[in-house]
Amino acid sequence: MKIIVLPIVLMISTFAHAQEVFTTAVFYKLVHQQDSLNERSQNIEYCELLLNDSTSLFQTINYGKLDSLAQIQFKNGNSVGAPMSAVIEFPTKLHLKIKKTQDEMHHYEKVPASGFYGNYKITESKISPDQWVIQPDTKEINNLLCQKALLNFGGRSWTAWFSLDIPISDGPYKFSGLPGLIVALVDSTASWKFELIGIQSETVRRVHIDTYSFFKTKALSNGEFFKMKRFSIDNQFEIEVTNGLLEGVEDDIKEEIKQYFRTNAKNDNNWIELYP
Amino acid sequence: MRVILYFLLLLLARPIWAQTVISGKLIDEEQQPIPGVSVIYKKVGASAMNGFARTDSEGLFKLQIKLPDADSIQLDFNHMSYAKKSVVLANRPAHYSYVLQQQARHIEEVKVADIPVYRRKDTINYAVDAFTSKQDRVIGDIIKKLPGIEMRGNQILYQGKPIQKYMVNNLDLMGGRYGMINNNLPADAVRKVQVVENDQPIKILDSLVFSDRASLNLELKKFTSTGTGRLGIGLSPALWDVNLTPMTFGKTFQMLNSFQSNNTGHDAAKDLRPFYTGSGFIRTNDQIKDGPSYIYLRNVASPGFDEKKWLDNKIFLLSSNMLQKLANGLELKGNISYYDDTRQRQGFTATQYYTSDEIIYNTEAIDNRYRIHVLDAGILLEKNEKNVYLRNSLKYHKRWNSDQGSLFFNDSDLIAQKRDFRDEALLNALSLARFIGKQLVNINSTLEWHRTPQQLSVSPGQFSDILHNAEPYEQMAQHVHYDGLRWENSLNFTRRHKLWTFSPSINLDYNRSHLDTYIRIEDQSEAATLGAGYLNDMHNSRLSFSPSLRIGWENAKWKWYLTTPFRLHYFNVTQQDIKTLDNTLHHTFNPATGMTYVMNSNNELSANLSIGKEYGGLDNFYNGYIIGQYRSMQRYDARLLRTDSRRAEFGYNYKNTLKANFANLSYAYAQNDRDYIFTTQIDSQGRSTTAIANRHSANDSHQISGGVSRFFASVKTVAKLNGSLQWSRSDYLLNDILSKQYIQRQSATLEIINSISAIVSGDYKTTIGHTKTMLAAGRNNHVFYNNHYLNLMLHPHDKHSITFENSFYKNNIPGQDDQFFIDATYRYRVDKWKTDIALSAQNLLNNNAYTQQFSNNIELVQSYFELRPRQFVISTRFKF
Repeated sequence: MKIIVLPIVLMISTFAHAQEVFTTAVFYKLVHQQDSLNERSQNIEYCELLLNDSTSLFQTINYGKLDSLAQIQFKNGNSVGAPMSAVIEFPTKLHLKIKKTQDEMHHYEKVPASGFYGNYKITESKISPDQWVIQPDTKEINNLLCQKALLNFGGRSWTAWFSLDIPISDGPYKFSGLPGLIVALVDSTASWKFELIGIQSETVRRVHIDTYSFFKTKALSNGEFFKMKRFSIDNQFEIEVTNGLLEGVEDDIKEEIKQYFRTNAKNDNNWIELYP
Repeated sequence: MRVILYFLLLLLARPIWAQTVISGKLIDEEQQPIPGVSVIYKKVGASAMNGFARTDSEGLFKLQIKLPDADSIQLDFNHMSYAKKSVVLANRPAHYSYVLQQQARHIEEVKVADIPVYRRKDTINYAVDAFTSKQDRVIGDIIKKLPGIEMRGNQILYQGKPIQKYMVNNLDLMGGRYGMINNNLPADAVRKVQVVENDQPIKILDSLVFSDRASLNLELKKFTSTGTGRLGIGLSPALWDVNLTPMTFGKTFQMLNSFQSNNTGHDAAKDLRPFYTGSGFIRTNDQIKDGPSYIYLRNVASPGFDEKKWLDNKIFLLSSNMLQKLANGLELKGNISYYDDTRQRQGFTATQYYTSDEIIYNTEAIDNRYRIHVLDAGILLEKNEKNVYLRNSLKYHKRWNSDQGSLFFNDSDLIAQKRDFRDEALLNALSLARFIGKQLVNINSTLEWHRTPQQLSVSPGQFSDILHNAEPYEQMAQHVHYDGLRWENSLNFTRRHKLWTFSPSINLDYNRSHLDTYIRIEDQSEAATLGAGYLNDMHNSRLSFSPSLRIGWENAKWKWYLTTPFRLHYFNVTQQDIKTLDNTLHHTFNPATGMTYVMNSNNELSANLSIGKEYGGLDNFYNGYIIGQYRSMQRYDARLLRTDSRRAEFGYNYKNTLKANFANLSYAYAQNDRDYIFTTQIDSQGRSTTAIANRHSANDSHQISGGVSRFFASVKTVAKLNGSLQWSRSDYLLNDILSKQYIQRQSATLEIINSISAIVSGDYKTTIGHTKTMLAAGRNNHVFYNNHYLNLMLHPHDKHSITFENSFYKNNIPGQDDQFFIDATYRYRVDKWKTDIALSAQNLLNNNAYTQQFSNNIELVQSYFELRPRQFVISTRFKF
């Protein structure tokens, strides 16, 4: 009897582990400029920061939807990802998730490669409280009293406004470590701007974070990862050719595809983290 | 020394005096340390804080207070699960302990702005206008640009899988021959293109059978009559290329007609072939295949490259298609097509036969002319409702060929051949799906009938030693009359249970055919029909009953399947009124299994195994000689041919998408045991007679193939290398001597694609191969080839583009010069007319022949093929 029970218990525990339950959701509006040379290349995204006692997850709302649809597809034996209709219905330019635990931070990102997306997971240490420089300035944002803090991160200088009224030491993207929730965050070039637009407490959100698909847990440094991402965006056409995906495609159509990828790569030059 | 040390200590201690260090420990009511508490300090009563720390896993914190002027400071302890606590302390170094009270902190809901609502749909709508650019004329130009869509030739793929329906206003007029709409419907008649994902085209299966395929629907701006045309003219000789395709789309009626004609080497009849038949899960085999041909003109092998370089054709094609939607959910479709194609093929063949004691050598100069007429007509009735699916397709097919061949044998004998081939066929395919209780039952029934008379005349008559007492004679004629009936019925069930799929089925098939042949000899106006040994009057039939089960299992990493088809066969054969097989009963069991294991995102392994037994040869059962070609005859014994086979395949795939490295490696092994062997007799002229001998024979083969492709980023160049090795061994019986043939093949391909410049881009490919054949008595031969291909694309300006295609062929044929071909195309975009003008030049160096070499188990063939001469065509497209 024990022999039967043990595997069942094991199975249940792995399933239970696979799903993370979040009880608080914080919403941010993100305005970012994709092309540093073109002010009109502005993109608006809505993001969510999901929290429970030990873990938080940051993603764009649309990416969260795509990700859960991709999980359904994956269950049906289709590992390509979310259906194309969903990709069009839920547009997002940020195919990433940031998971923060008590001690460390995981950065999951899909990088375009050979027609589909390659999944990556980078583990790094969290931003520590003493990296922030606290400023005496305070101001009220959406009826929340906020205080200013400065940070150099990812090749950009950031200004954050956090609120001691909300004792959540977290914020959008990889930003955390302040004694209150980040309410507004902007970089010195105003290319990336997050604003808090809502908080839902006492909610229940179940999310599979890294159960579907085969995330590569390669020990990449942040710099290496962004270098690789640049490589795959700049060379998407060549990667598809190498992979044999454009076999038998007529020359003029191939040329169109090449031009499309080239323009895309040129315009996508203002990432949230800049590494030389 | 001591003084210096003291001074140093003083220096180090100084900052500590300027800021006070306050440390502490936070514990809960059960004396347990609390980690992760924010501890901030500020001036007493101030709103802004001055610094903060966080408790570690021991509940400890340490603050460096940088408020030298303040006498006392305020500390706030903040944590989501504990009540907020503030204390006021003296501003001097000290260590404190505090107990925090457990209390879930409520966070006020905040709502500043609304988040836009997105809704998930299965249908994607593309507004055509948004995707249209200046040079887009037909809807196909737009569709190929839509995200997720790929084109393979004329076939449309969505997310890598072929689409399963192509509809206009939700009606599927062309049923798989959608290329005609896609290439001819003007883009500006279409309002939007809809892609319906995961579409189950059979409504009764909806929510029962998951579909991972997509359907495509074009929504028109209005019910309309429209169309496009293509016009091209060229030299030399006079060339034309015409395509006129008018179409009408109404509310319940649709029609498409097409007229096409060209002599530029484009096989327009390919447009009549469907990309899908039936729909998805319920697949019906409703395509008519040509009836069997027993006779052939001696031919030259066609070159293995683009048909347009060598096809000498003159085709006229008409096609008409109609669809009427009836009131009670029925759709009625009719189509009729006819084409007339005249083809010419010229060449030269040199053949060496390796018999065990000598090498026989002959040459043939060939000049063939084919005249092909094909008529197809069909009526399809379909009802696709939530509770019933019915599809009945009735087709008629008629083909008549009259081919003439003139052949110069060994530079001395002129031989004329004439082939008449007629094939008339009728097919009815019925599919029905209904629920019986909760079980979905699907019945398919197909009935196909063929009548195929054919005749080959050869003059002067050959095989005179066998057929005419070794005396020359004027003409031999092989007459063949074939008719056949195929009736296939199946009953299928499908059940899914979690990760398992069970598909039991029962098949009952009946095949019957009648073969009537005779040979007529004519000499000096005397005609005679040859008697026994050269006559066939054969009736045969096979009835098979087969229960079968397919089991599948799959999860995220593993896929596995097993099929277990068991078949019972009853054979009956009557030859020349003698019953040679009388209710002979055989059974076969051909299980197959396979699995795929996805190790991780980089590596995948797969394996497939099968064993089985087949009884065949029913169509080759004739025991009287049939002249298949002017210099070959065959007859076979009245017996079933049994083959036992074993097969194994293993594959490995590697991909690293980010670094753009890909590799694959596979191994395949096949082994067959036969209870028969074909025996061939070759005479000194290279004429062969083939029969079946009752001897055991075997063959086996091993093949290893693999490839790597890699992207070199610094020079924007992709390199691909593929290679394969093959060994095979087989028994052959030639002039009564049983020998073994060994073949070793090696081949490799290297491809380099460069895209560093926006103005000039190019790709280069080379293939190299070697085949060594070893035959009896130490005879062997080597075939070696090395081909090079270079394509260059120039885009000097937005409106102009030039393409050059160079190919270079080299082989080890003695006396054969290396061959070099150049083709070029110039394209000019005319924005005002919304069209391109293309000037294409083919075979600029005006090569007239292509040479190739290949071998099979008894012969080595070198053939020279006449190519299309240098030609220039200027063409454009228009809309009406």
